[in-house]
Amino acid sequence: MVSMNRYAAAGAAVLLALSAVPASAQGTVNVYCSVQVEWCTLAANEFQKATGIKVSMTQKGSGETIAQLKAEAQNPKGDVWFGGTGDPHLQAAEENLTEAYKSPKLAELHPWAVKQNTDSGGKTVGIYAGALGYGFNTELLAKKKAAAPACWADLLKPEFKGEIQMANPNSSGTAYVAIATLVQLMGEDKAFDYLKKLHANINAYTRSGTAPMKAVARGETSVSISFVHDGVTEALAGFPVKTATPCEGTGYEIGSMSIVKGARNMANARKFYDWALTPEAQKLGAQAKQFQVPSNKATPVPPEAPKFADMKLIDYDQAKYGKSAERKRLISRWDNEVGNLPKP
Amino acid sequence: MARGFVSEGRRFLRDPALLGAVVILWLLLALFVLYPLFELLVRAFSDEGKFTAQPLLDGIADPSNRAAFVNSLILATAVGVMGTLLGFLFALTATRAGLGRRWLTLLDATALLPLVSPPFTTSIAIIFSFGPKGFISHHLLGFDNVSAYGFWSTALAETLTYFPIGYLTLRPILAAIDPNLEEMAFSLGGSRWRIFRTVTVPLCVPGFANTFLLLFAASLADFATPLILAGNSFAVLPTQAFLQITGMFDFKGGAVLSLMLLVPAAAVFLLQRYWVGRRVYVTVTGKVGQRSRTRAMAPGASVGLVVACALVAIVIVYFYALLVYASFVVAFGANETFTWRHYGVIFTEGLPAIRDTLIIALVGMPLGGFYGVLVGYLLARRRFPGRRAMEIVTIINYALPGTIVGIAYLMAFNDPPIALTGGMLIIVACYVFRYSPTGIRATVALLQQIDRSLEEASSSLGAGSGETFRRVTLPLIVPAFFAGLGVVFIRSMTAISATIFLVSISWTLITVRILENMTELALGPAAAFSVFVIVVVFAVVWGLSAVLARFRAPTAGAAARSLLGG
Repeated sequence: MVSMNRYAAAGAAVLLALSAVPASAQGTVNVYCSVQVEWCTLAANEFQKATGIKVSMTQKGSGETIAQLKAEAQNPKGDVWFGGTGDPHLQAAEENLTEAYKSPKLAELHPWAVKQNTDSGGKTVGIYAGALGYGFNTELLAKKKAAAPACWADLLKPEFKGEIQMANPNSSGTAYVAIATLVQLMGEDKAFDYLKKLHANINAYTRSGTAPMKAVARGETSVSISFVHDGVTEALAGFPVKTATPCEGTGYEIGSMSIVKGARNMANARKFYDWALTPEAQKLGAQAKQFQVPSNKATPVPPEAPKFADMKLIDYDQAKYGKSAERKRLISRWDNEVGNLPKP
Repeated sequence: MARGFVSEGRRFLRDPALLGAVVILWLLLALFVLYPLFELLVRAFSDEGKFTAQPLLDGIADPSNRAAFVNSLILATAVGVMGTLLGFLFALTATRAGLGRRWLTLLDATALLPLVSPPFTTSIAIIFSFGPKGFISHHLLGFDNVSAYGFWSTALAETLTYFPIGYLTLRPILAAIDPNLEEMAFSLGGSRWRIFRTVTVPLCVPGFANTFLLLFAASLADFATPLILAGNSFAVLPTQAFLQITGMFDFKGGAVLSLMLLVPAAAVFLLQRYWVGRRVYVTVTGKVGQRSRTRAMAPGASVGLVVACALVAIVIVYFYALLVYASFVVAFGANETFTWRHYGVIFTEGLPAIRDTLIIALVGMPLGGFYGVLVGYLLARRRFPGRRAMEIVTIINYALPGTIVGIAYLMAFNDPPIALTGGMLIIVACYVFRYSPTGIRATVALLQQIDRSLEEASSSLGAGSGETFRRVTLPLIVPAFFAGLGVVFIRSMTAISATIFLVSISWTLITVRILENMTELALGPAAAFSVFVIVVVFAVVWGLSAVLARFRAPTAGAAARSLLGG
C-alpha cells in the first residue's frame, strides 16, 4: 500500500506541474484562428508579448468555425475570430453571431477592407485580401508534357483527368469562393455544368482549403484550385510550385476578423482586434510566409505577394455571396449535383 | 418469491452505504448515459416541438445517406471476414506451430501494437506507403499517379488495426481444444488436412461468428480511418455524421445519421453478446491431455503458418518504422533531410494539447478505475433492485459507436440547464463512462473466483458493507482496479471518435491535433505526435504490467489481458 501512495503522490505532483499555467494579470483572450497555423501561432505569441494578455488559440477552417459559433451561441467560448475567407464572417454577422465594433484603426485601412465593415453593419472587417487561382507542380506537368493551366477552361482538358484537387465547400471557405466566383463569371447553371465536368478531373475534395496546394507541393497532385498566395509559401519552401490566375477573370477573398457576440473577454477582444489592424501585427503574415495583401495601407506589401494589378479580377459581390441563405443554397446544390456524383 | 424480494428490498434500504452508492451511481448513469441518448432521440424525432418521424424518413430517403449506410455495411463485412481470417492465422500459429516462448511473446507484441496505438497510425503509414509519393507505390514500384484513398486502403487499414481482436478471441478457443481429440483422429488414419477441416475448424465455428461480429462492430464504429482514407467516393456513416456537424452544424442531420448507425450497431452488439458470444463448444474427453506438441500439424504446414504470420508482422513493424522515419524528415516523399523540427513543433505549439491530454487521462484514470471496481463489485456481490438494469445501462456507452456518444453528449450538454461543453469534465465523463466496462468485467471475473465467505466473515464480525468493501474486497480486486484504470488511460490517449465533438478552445486532445495536422497535410507533426503517444502508452502498459505482476494472484494475468483486449 505504501507503494500505491507513492504513485498517487507522484501523479498529483505531475498534475500540479502540468496545470501550473502562468496566470496572467492582464487576463486572457480566446481566438478562433482561420489562417495557417504558423501565422496563428506567431500572432498569438506577439500579441501576448505586446500586451501581457494570454492568448488561447484554436486553428480551424472558416466553414467549421462558423458552425462552432452557431453551436456555442448560447454559451460563447471564443472571443475573436481571426482570419479566414470573408463570406462566413458576413454570414456570422447576418446571423447575429458576432458583435459590431468600430475600431479607431478603421481609417487606416484600404477601401475594400472598410467596405467589408460597412456591408456587415460594422460586425466584421477586412484584414487581408487574396486572389483565387491555380497552383501547379512544374515537375509533374513537365513529365506529363502538359501545358500549365491558364484559364478555367483549361482545367477541363482530358490530360488533367484525376490530376486536380480542390477543397470541399462544406468545410472550406476557399472552395466556396471558387464556386461563387464561377457563378458570378458564368451564370449559375453554366457554372454548375462546369463543376460537373470538372468533377471528372478532380482526385479529391479535401476538408481544408490549403491542403490542395500542399498536395501540389509534395507532388501528390498536379494542379490545385487555391488562393495563389498559398503557392508562394510553398515555392519559397523550395517546392516546384507555380501559380496562375484564370484568364477569364477570378474572384478574391477578403480575409476578415470579427468579435464573437457575448464574448466573455470583451475588452481584451477589442484590444486584439485593434492590434490586428496595425501594420506591426499585419507584418507578421509575411514573417510567417503568408503573402496576402494586408489591409492597413501602411503595412508594407511583401514583394513576393501576388500583384492584384497583374490579374483580371471580377467585381466579387461580397455582400450577396456572404448571405447565409445564398451560401447554404449554393453548397447544397453543389452537394446534390456535384459532390455526390460517383467517381467517373 | 415475493417475500424474498421484499426482504431483499428492506435489507437494501437498511444498508446506508449500499443505498448511497446505488443511488449515486444511478444519478450519474442517468446524467451521462441515459439523458444524452434521450436528447439524441428527441432531436431525431421532433420538428418544432412536435413528434414526427419525418426527419428520419427524409434522412433515409437521401441518396447520399443511403450510400453511406450501404458503404458502412460493405466495409464492416469486408473487415469482419479479413480480420477473422488473419486473427485465425495468428491464433493457429500461436497454438499449433510449436513456437518457443520468446517467439510467442514477439508475436503477441506485434499483434497488439495496433490496438494500443492512436487511431491514425495505420492510415498515415498507408498514405506514406501507397500514396502518390508513397515508399512502395512510387519509390519501389515507380507508379506515378496512384490514389491511396478509397475502399481497399480503408479496409486494409481497419483489418490491420482490428485483427488482434480476432486473435485474442480465437486463441483461447484453439488452445482449449483438447489435443487428444486431434491426436485420436490422426491415429485413426485421418489425413492432417481432413482433421483440420472436420475437427479443428468446426470446433471454432462459434468463435468465428463471435470474432466476425466483434470486428464488424469495430469497423462500423471506426471514424478515424475512413475520415483519412475513404475519400469522397466512399463515404461512411460516422464520417458523414461528423462532417454534417462540424461543417454545417446540422444537429438534426447528425442525429438522423447517428440513428442510422445505431440500428446495425445495436443489432450486432446484441447478437454477439446474447447469442453467439455464449455459444462455445467445449471438448470433453474425460482426462485433460498434457499440452504436448500435437502431431496434427505437418511440419511443412507449421513453417507455412509461421512464415505467413511473420509476413504480416513485418508489414506491421514496417508501418511503424515508416511512421518513426517520417517524424524525423522534413517532408516524407519530397524532402527527406533529417530534422528535429516536427518534435520541436509538437513540444511548442502542440504542448497545450499534450498537457490537456495528460491531465484528462490522469484525472480520468483513478475515476474510471474506481467506478469500474465499484460497479463490478455491486453487480457481482450485492443484491439490490434494478441490478440487471444497471448492468445493461453501464454498457451502453461502450457498445455504441463513439460518434453517436459524442454527438449525444454535444446535444445534451451544449446549452443550459447542463452546459458542460468547453470544459474538461465532459471529456473525462465521456471516457470514464465509455471505457470503464473493461474494469467492470475484470472486477466481476475476479470476484467470481474469490469465495464469498471472506466478506461474510467480515460482516458477521460487525463491519458495515462500506468497511467490508474497503478493507476486505478492495485489496482482493486491486488487479482489476489497475486494469480498468489502464484502459481508461490508454483510451484517453488514443481515442477520438467521441471526443472530437467535445474538444474546445480551452481543452483539446493530441488525437484531435493529429487529425488537424492530417487535414492540413502536415504529416510530419502528425507522425511525431503519433510516435509520442505510442511511447507514452507503451511505457504505461509496461508499468501496469509490472504492477500487476506483483499481485501473484492467478487472476492477475486475466486482468492484464483484459487491459489490452478492451
